[in-house]
Amino acid sequence: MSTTIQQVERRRRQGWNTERFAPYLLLLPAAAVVLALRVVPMLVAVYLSFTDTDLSQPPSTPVQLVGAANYQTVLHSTDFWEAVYTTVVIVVPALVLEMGIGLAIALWLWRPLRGRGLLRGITLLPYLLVPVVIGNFFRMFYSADFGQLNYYLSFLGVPSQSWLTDPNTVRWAVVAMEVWHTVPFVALLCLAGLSGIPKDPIEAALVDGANAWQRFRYVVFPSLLPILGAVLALRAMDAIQLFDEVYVLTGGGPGRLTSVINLYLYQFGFRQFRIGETSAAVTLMVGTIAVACLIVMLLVRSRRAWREVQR
Amino acid sequence: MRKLGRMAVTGVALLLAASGLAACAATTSSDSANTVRVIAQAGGPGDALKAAAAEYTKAHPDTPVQVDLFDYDAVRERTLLGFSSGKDSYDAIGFDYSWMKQYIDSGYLLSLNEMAAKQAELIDMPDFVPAYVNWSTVDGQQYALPWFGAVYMLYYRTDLLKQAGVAVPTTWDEYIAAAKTVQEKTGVTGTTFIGKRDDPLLDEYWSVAWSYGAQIANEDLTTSMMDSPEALEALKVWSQVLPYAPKDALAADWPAAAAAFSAGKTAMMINFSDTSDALIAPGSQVAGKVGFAALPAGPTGKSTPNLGGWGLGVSAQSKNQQAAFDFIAWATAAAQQQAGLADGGSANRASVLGDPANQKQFPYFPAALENYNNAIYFPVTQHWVDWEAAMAPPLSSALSGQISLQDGVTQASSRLQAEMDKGASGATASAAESPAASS
Repeated sequence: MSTTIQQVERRRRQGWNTERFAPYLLLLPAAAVVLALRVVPMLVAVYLSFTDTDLSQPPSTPVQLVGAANYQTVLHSTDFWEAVYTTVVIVVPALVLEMGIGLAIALWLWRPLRGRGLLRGITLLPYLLVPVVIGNFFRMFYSADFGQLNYYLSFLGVPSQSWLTDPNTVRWAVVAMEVWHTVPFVALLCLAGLSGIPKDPIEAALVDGANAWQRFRYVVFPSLLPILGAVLALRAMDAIQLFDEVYVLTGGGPGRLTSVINLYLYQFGFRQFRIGETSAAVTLMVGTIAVACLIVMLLVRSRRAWREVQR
Repeated sequence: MRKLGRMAVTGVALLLAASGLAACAATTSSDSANTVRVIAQAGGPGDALKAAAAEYTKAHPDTPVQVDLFDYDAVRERTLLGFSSGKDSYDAIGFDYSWMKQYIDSGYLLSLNEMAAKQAELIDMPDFVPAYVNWSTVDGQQYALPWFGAVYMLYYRTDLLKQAGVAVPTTWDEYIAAAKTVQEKTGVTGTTFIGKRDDPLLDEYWSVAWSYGAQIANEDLTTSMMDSPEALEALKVWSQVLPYAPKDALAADWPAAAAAFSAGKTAMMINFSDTSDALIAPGSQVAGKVGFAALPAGPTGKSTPNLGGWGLGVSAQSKNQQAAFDFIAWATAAAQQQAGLADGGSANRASVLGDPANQKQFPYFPAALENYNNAIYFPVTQHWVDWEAAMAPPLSSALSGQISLQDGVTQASSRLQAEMDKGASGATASAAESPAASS
């Protein structure tokens, strides 16, 4: 009754075989969740962007395909471009500061320090807070009349400032809040990256007489670059979605100075229920992010390829 | 590996079975067909409505009432999404009056004329503040019973005004002068200023601007009237309050202003009447030191406080329309409004506001009644949310100095006109049919 390998192989190919389907079945729940909660809504949003769907209209109102009309409306909207501009002028400085401060904290925590574990835990705390709580906290912190910031600055002789209503300071107030919130995330990932760097090249540089800056500049930083790139990409995608904190902190004002793109989308989508136009704006935004990511990936690949050629 | 495969198959089957059971459970645990479901805003009046529902259910076990309370924006989102998906399960709907026209034009609200006529004695519409009676009726059809009321009024610290030798202001010029004098003589900030972009800013601005003779729109709501000397003058005068207001005034909404006044940080406040209860509560820092008055008047000689408040209507899709109406008629009747005051309810009936015993317990009632009688509400249009989003940002930019006051008014007007033009060409084109704005 011996079974040949060929027989087993034939059975596997022909009939129902649990082994063959097991990996797919195991993947099925996760794939279904991703499909239902990510892919399908995204495709629906793209479809809606070509319709005149307006949830404030009676359900009997027929939904019509309007071609690229919603895209034209959005692209000709001053409010949309102001929101894009506001997002850029808030997100770019925030990212620069987050990366710089986050890396500095990671380098500091990388050193052998007593109580390093505790320090890591404390550093991470702001990132664990809910954005709405952070927005409310900073609203009190920045309060011109009874905020802690003005209180501490008064010891330095700085007169009381209206951080949230002065056009010169309100965007920086948002940037500072965002930096405070997300620096721990950057620091933690950078620290993980630093921990993965082999010690030998650093020690070799030390033996060769390299000072701290030279060791960082020529050994640590190049090794950390892939991690920094990944962190920057993650943070950039997250920062563009900035909403909760700003909604609570300023509501987009004064004027439109802090109306970031997601506030614009919220206003259009969930207060005015103009789903067609909102979907067009969302599709444009997602498309732009996807293209930007693609360009970055291609640049990274071409750089790697160039290095390989040089070697 | 074969074992693993079997386990996976069994696991997936169990998952599917569990989700099926959950779906069945969800179906079977739904409410009984007779339950009247109500959606309304959370807060004091919401709590009072919930308490009323519990009492009503005891007396009418055949038609139990379930009240679901949500935050302001969430009520509108849930109501609109429920209706537009055709799966709305609410029988009675609470709404800010500024949303009502949209609900009517979309066919979401039932005309209450017939049912109201049968219970005219219980409802006693003439007892409500006249502005709410008018606001509840569109094109001769009544769609709402006034639920809770709120109107702008003037609050002042009796001790600080006395200390500064200042009389209670009756005009906007006197108001600014009083704020200046009190601030200079007592060191306490003169007054509040609710300048946060969107509805907080617009509510206070128009409470001033109407008294200068400014208007939002023409009678058929097709032309913006904002770009006028009166609207500009009102903005100029209103901006003169800023030096005597908290420094964060342009980020302040109603709760922020109420918090500043109740903490004793300002000598006066202009705010909705529903902030009054917290000021007279025993734990309040300013209890016993607060006076209430009519909003100052403008050059027209009129005091024109903005009217807020919510109504209760019946869903046109409800299968329990009569039961839903019976509940809201009972819940908004004079006896229940009186009883609800103990649970956080608010008054909008002349009999409740004018009752001497109530006026003793709630010293702001006389001033509230006076303000209700002067009150003006925003134009009744299905596009109000769009109009609001159009007008507010330029006014906010002007107040924060990014653009001139003239540009603020001009830009607000042109953006409003653009929205009106869009609305006029919209699917329902009902703006022209709505009644004239009370402004």
